[in-house]
Amino acid sequence: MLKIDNLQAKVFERPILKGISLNIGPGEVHAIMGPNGSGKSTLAGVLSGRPGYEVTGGSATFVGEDLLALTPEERARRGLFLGFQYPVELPGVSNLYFLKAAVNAVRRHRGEDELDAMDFLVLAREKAKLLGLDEGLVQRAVNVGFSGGEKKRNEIFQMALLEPKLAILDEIDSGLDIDALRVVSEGVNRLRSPERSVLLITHYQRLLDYIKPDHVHVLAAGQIVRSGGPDLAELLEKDGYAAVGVGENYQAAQVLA
Amino acid sequence: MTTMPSAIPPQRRSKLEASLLSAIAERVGALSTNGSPWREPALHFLQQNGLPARTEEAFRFSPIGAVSEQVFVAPTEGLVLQVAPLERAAISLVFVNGIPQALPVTPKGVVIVRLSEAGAAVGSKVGSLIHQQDGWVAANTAGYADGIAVVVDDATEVAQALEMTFVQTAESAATYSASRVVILVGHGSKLSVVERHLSVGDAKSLSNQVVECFVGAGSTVNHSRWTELGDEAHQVAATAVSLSDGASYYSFALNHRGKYVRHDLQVRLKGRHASATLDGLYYGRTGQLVDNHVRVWHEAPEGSTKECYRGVVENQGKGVFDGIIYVCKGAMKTDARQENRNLLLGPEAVVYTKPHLEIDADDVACSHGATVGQLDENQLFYLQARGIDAALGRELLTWAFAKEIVERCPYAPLRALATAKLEGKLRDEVAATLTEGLSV
Repeated sequence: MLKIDNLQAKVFERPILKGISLNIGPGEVHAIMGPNGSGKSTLAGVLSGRPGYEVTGGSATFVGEDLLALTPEERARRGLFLGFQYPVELPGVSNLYFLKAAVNAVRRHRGEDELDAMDFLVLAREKAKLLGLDEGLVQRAVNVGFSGGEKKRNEIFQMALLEPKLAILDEIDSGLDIDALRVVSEGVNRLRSPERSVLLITHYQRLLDYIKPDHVHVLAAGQIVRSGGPDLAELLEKDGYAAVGVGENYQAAQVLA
Repeated sequence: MTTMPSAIPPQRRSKLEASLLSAIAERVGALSTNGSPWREPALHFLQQNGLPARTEEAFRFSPIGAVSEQVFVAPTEGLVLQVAPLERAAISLVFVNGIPQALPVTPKGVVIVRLSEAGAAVGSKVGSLIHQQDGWVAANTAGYADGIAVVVDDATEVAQALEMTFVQTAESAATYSASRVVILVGHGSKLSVVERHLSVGDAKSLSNQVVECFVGAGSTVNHSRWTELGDEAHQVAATAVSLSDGASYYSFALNHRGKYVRHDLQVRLKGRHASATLDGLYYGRTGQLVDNHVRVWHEAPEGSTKECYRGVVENQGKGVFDGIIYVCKGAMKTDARQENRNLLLGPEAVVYTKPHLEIDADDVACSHGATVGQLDENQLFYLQARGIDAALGRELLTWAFAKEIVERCPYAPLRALATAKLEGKLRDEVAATLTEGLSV
């Protein structure tokens, strides 16, 4: 599905990713954990094509294509979905209009017929219900006046509608209370399938209690310093990042080095 | 006391100014005065001061440009055009090059009459709100050929809107025309006025429009304005409004396009507890200039103004917004809000915005603010990350910005027209872009 090989990137001339290699197979759920500033969100940004990052080396191949050569919208149409850490408010753009345009962009690319307004509404209602998203929110301007939990639920709602091949969920758990976390996690779990891969990016092991990953990676100072199974997350929860040799001073030491 | 500047020597006049002046001076004696004393003084003012120059503060950022060195002539007379109103039931009045065409049948309580045929009681109102604040208005006052008076009785709710369509034509020579309208609404009445400004022909044209509107005690006037002129069409327009006790005035002004479009809106809240809501949306298209000057005077207590203008300026387009609210002495408990937001769509888009307040009264609540910005990169990326391509995303965000004003248009048929014109292009592009996506 996604093959990342020795990926390096910098932001404002500062190297952030220093050679990341990662293989995500179909249906697999990978979790990337790491302390603040380790490069987690940069990885999500580079993979989704967010402006402001400069790739300086390595490659990323998505379903056989050079991912890094594509525009963000081309990546999305090919089935890559980024769940935003901070979903963006779009005043004046109705959620329904936005989502219909998004879904039809993807459908067109797949050679499927566009959904008309009625069909889309039926589909949107069904998915909203599954996620316990208030239908009123579906009609409103995108994310405007949504609570933190509602914004994150709206992300998963969009993922449910777009049915991506690979979902990169960037700190989808941040700012959520325990109930909202449960709802969002259930939403993600419901979307798990043998064809759909997930890359979870998180600070906390807590999320992994709800969404069981197949693989866990620890990112520190722009490199994956340890990979393992679900038990690695438990180790981190118990002993902190020090358990894998990432101390408080690890970041600073790497920067100086 | 202001000192009168000495008359401009003939050789210093621009061709535009000279051609206007000679045409007006030649005709002014033959024109009906309608009981209004302002024709001759306005001509004198124009001779003394000329057309507005860049040196005048109110025109600093909006010179009329290259056409000032063009000779303008009067358009062909007797031109008749059929223009259907937006709403079939509307009271429809068409002006061709400033000249009112056939007068419509009016409902009970409403009289529409040519100024040349109006009595002095009505005619004397012409120029009483605005006559020579600048050279353009003076040129209008001195030289309009004929105009229209709309009179609404007391306690009359006019169900149909009054649709006035102004068409300027220029087939070969550059043409100048002027139109004049006075609207008198009695007490406890209601009227909806809709103006559409259109042009035909590829040659240069310049129209000069002035509307004076008196809103009686407890009355409501909804006034919508739509400007959609050709790439060679210029317009200078002034709308002056006076509000009596408890009167409400709602203005919705949308400039879609036009080479040079200047609109001066002046509202005087003369009576207590009057209210003005002034919404505007202007597009400064590439190579075009749009200027909105909005003046509000709170002259009595307990009045309120809500002013909200938004501008969308394309690359190499130019937008000007100048808004001032004067809270005069004694206008206690005034509530005045003024906001101007601008979206620049390219590195060579320019906007000059100048919101200001002058407060001479105590116990008032006033605010003003202006912003100038570009499309938000985060918002654009969010759309792209959902498969919507960048060009379409920009259109979507621009329309979202504009739509919040368009939705406030009080006249549904105009709201529909504006939506179709401004979003319609976007709607087509949604289809086109998604089809292109297939070949990727």
